[in-house]
Amino acid sequence: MTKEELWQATLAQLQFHISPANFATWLKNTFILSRKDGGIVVSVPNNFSKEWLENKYNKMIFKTLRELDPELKGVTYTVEKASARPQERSFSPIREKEDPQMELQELRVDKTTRLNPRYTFDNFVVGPFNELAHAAAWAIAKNPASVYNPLFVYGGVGLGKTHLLQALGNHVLLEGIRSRIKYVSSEQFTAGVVTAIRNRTVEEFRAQYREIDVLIIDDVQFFAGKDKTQEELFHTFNTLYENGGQIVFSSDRPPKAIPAIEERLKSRFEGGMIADIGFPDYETRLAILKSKLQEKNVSVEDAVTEYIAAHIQRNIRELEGVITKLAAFCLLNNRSPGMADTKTLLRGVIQSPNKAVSVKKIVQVVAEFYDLKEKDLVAASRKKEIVRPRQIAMYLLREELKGSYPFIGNRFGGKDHTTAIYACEKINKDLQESEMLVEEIGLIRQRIYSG
Amino acid sequence: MKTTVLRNSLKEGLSTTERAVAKSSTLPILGNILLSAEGAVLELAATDLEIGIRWRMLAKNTKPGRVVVPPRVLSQLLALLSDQSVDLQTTASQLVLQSSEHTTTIKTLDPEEFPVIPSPKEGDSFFEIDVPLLCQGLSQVVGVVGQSQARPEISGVFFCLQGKTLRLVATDSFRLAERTITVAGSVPKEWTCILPQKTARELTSILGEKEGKVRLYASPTQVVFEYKNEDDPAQPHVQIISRLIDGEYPQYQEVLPKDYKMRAVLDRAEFLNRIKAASLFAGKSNEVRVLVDEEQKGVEVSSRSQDLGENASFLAGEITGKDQAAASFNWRFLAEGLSSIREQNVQLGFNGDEGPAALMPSPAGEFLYIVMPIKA
Repeated sequence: MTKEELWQATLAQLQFHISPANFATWLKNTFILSRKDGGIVVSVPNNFSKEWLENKYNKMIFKTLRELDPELKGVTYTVEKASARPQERSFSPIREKEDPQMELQELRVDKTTRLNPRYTFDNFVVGPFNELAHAAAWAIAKNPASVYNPLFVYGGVGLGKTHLLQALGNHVLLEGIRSRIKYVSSEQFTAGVVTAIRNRTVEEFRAQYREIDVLIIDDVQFFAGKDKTQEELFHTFNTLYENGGQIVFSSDRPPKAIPAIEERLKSRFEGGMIADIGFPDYETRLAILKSKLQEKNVSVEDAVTEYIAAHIQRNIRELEGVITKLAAFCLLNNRSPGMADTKTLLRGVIQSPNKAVSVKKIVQVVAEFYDLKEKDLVAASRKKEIVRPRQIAMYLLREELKGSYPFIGNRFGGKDHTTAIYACEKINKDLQESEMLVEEIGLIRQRIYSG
Repeated sequence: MKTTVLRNSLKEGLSTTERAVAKSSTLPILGNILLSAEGAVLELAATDLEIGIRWRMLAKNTKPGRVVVPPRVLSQLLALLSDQSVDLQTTASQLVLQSSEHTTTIKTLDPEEFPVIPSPKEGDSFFEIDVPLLCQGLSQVVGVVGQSQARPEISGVFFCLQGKTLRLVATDSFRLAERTITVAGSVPKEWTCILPQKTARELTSILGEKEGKVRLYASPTQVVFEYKNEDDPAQPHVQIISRLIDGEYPQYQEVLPKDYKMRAVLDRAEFLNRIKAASLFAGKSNEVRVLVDEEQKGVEVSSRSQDLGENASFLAGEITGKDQAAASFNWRFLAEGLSSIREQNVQLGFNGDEGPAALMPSPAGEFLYIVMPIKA
């Protein structure tokens, strides 16, 4: 007889000797916690039940159990903290935007999983630019650790990587597909490693990460150059992968383009599914805009939404900012903004990116992207790893700023204008051949404009 | 059982223990009070299985014994008597209450059926807190406790003891109140629990007027507050037993603003007054606007209702920060925060319409109240 059956049989007998009210009050939520060497431990929900069973029913319970199990020597009672038993997770449905009263955000974040229930698949707008990433995340959410493992999502700032990753985690949790889920930003992971080393609790740190079904790590590009963290991640990855855990990473660039990441980790990143999130096209931007406006209960003319969608191209977060501005306008003036109002409202947002781009900015971003110093790019070195970035920088100066060739040559340590021409032509040619390069330059552009 | 007690003590004991009587339960006996006479003590006890109260007072017991009676009829009767003391005696299944003019017989229930209320054993570890401090602290935060069924972990007051500092915290996710109490004597190094709101309320009303210390016996699933005044034998000996809320309290420290864009030191009563005036025009959303202005050296509180009209008032104060910032709040949240502060002046920490605002006594004290604005 299993302990469940044993307790059931005992309860079946006891009900004849105890009044229904007492039976319901004192024996509700009781069960046999353990059964060892003729001793039985009964779990009871609170101290009142414990006292009652010990003092009043102990003899009866012992006798009944003894009849069913002659080996029995004693019964003890213990109050279990409810969390020790599997418990239904109660999640409040998220009241999005109904109530303008703001909440203390951090309280919403689940402490163990670190997931924010605000992010779901339902409020994730899918378009051609993120279709692949969304489909992959959805497939994983339905069936973790079987299809794409690991999943590596990359894309620019404010395009919805975090939203997608959190939605994946929330879906798995809410649907009860897996229970042990953890979402960490790379910063939290690094901080964890550092604390563990300092407090000499590396073992506990490892254990904590290796007992997980779905591990989500956001912004892994920040692991660049952090060797010890990378090593921990590498081992965590291997253990989880072997135990059949799902791993999801996000980054602002493809694994190959992350500098100062160990080769073995890089190859792990690339081992599963890599999906990118590009820039949203016009139609998607319009769709996002409309759905957000509806959420905020702001109605504007079509011409206005079209104007915004046409002008804010690179960042969904920026799009949200504009919507907040429109909503505030409505509230303050008690009318919906017209075309002229919108243009005034958006002046700052739309014009600033073009102003911000300068020769200096481009050089700086390119240098940073390839983990070089700015002065290396300008110096006369002909090392391969410097020449290439320098050519890319020249190409970008030509493309983005329409700089003349002599000007470009001059900027890079007084090189001849023909060098600049050669660089631009070379990159143009390579662009047609190498997808990788297209992507790299796309990412650099994005950083120039978002940064 | 046969005993003689002071009428007023019995009345007080009944009205206190009555608080723990179950209003409706599958177990009818929980709607009653257990009286037990032993030694020189008469004990009243009641429980609804979530919270239990034991009340002991001095009595002249001639025959020990126990009896279970419905509390209402007994306390109503006691209120009508004029004698200083009353005699209680049990016969078979009845309680006979004898005073100079009245003889009353009340039907009773079997004391064997009454639940055993868990109590701390000799030698259990405990620590002590000053009663007025605890009650004052609890009353400052208890109103903020969240009511949502979906989040049981914030449906109580969080006790967080670290070193000699005890923090009482409550939040409903829109606002948060924290009271710091310094504990003297020997205390455990670290201890936390989530006390149900009901227990917190009962504690403040039962012990609110008392002096001295309360002993706190803590275990992972329940807590016992024991009040005993050895200097004054007229004082009752009270034990309040409560279950604890299971769960992990959110890491609320992360919510506390690290810094404020602007700060305003204001007269508390005047500020509350201004907010109440504005509340008249706040409408259904309870929304009032607070503008902190560095140039004008003060705070403007305003509200506007489409049907009623509008109100604006200015309160001068000490402002630090640059230019001005404004945000809208639920006036009830602000008013409740201000009412929890006793000091003459308050400091308003302000982060405009995005971050939380804070109310605290000025000069800085042991109370902090954080509230989120309403989105514009």
